[in-house]
Amino acid sequence: MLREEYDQNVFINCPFDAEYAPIFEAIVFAVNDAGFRPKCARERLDSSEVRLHKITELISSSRYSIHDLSRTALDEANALPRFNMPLELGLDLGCKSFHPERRDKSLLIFDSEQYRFQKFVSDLGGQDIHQHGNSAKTAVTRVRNWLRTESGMSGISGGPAIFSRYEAFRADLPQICAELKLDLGDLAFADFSYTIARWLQTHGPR
Amino acid sequence: MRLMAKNEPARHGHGVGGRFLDQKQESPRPKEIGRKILFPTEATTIDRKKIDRAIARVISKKK
Repeated sequence: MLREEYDQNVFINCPFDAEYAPIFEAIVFAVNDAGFRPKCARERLDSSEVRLHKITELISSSRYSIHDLSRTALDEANALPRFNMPLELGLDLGCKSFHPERRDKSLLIFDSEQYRFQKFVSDLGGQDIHQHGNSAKTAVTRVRNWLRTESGMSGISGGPAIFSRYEAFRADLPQICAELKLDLGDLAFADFSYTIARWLQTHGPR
Repeated sequence: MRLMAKNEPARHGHGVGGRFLDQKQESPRPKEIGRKILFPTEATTIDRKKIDRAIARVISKKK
């Protein structure tokens, strides 16, 4: 993998449920708008790939990662928490610690409440964990500020400007899907990300 | 001029702002990142030209 591509990739480790979709989609938009490339386990549809291998490859190929632990809660059916997000965060921290060429990785960790994570992953104590309060707008601003700080890039718009463009994109998206004869839910991750990138080419600040 | 001790790390740059080489290495930050829109490297399930045309039609309807 080219160094340049690694520097551009942002791995997103978030829940994929419908309730979380507004935040996930806003984060994907913010990453694109800031000029980075969102990566997510959903972009790979090859069933022959072992899921964990796919995820470790995405982690290793992304300098930046967003991990959202806010949905770590007991499942009503099993009374057990879904632990995929913390597991993938652990893999990423391991990659940063043990891979000599990945020490420059930067992680943005979200949880629903401040210090809540200390009750289920106390080893993360000392990490700077952020909250989005289930607000897409807050998530966009947090992602934007983190990318701006960690990449050192000065050409990234402010959070409110990015969110304003996101709202305009959301307004156009149903019509774009109608033109494609698709339901909104039929858009695969790569299709969604490509649509954002193409839309931003005509609506972005640049 | 002071001679360097045998195990003293070399410095980058000059004067007070010089950095020790053995400090955490920062990778270079490519200046082009964060300034242009990047497209997914993975294949889309829909022909990209179809998406381009759909977006163009929606934009033209708004004008």
